[in-house]
Amino acid sequence: MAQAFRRFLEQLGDVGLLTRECARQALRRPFEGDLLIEQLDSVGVRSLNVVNLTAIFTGMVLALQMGQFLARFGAKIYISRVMGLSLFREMGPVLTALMIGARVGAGITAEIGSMKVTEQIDAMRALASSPVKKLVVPRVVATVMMMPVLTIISDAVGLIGGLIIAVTQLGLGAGYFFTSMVQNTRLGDLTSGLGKSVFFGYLIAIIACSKGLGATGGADGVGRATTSAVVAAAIGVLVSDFFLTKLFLAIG
Amino acid sequence: MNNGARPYISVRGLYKSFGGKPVLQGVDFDVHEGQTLVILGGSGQGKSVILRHLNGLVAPDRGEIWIEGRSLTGLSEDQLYDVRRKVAMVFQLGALFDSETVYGNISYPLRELGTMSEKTMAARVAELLAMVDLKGIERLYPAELSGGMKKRVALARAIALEPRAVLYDEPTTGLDPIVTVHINELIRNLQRRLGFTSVVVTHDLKSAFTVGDRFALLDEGRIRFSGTAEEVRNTGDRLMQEFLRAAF
Repeated sequence: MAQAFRRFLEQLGDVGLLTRECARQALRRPFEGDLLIEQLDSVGVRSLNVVNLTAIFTGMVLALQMGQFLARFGAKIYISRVMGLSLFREMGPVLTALMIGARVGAGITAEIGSMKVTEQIDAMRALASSPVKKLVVPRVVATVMMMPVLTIISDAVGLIGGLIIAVTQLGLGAGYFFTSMVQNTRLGDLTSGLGKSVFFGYLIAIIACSKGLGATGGADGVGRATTSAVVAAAIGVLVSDFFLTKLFLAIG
Repeated sequence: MNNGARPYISVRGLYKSFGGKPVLQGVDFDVHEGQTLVILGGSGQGKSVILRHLNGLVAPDRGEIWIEGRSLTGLSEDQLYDVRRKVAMVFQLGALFDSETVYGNISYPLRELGTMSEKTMAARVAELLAMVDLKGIERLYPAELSGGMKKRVALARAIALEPRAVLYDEPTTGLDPIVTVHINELIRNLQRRLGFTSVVVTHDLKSAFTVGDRFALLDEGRIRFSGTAEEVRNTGDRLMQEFLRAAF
């Protein structure tokens, strides 16, 4: 137990040090624009399918469950309000983060981890260049930039899923669904979700990079690092979500 | 060859442990300008660990390393870049970047300099490939190369910035005997042609005699024996003799 706690603190320290080095290298010229664009494509564009698929089914399931529940009280007309609030504040950012953590986080750790165990990271250092600047900065910046974009898309697709169920299963009008949702959702609901998504993006990418850079051994070590990165990112997202929710509720 | 001049690489009292397990326990040696030192030793003795200290990839627990008379102690990663441009390294399995072509790999250190045009860089890459007896493979990826070709490309990448010293980590491990001979000849010829200082880590004594001027035997974390090829052949050191018997 004490050993596990010590290991946790060490990993936290590694993430902290990597964050500091990442910030230092990000501000240094030359800026690696090409590498960033490559990562924006990898993190953002190539994640669209998985994010959309998750969002539409989440929206549909949410509408079905909520519709059934609210119908007991004759309150199914409130479904779009409940959906707007749940998707914008929680489901959108958290589910997107979990999917990105699994897809992008695993990819980052596996890529950097295999570079580490085949000495490519050491080769970069030996060639007088910084692996943090070349590998970590573009991945962290791209994930932080793309997470809010993916979250907005996920919110919209989730609402479309909810709309489909509201219209086909619950007998509500599409116009009413949207008007009710827009009238009863505050900008703060959307921005708190987006604020969370920025932090989740940082968390996923920095954990994935840290685990990749810490990989040891061969393919087995890379596999262990990848599994560990996905688990750590998911736990990090869920735990930090609680504190971020408290924070955003406190600041209104 | 040293003529009493200051050594290019100097190591004194080098100690290093990993996870509480001592690997190096007071290593001392010098390498003079233009000389090739071969560090011999069994597997797991810490030969590669010594090499990684010489360009600052690993920091010592204790001891000093001087390159061109400048101590590496306390240098930041940024300050070590200057050292690494002068002291290049060829890794055991090449460590070529998988996602880059041969051109991307060899031009990597040139691109990092940020002062070379694409045209000049292309000409330099072609020149470097010719130096390692390879031509027209710029567009291939490392996965498409044989083991020997990877080593050659790694060597071309290492000498791209015209370093003053080159460190070789097991340059012939995993190669067949014919390719091993070619790589050893290449290392020797490049060293003669470009005049750089070399440190070669190997457990292959045949290769060592082809490329080396001086030899050091690492055992239990210390340099147990060092000398010229002649001194190696005539030594009474038991372990060195065992190495000789096993190799020939």
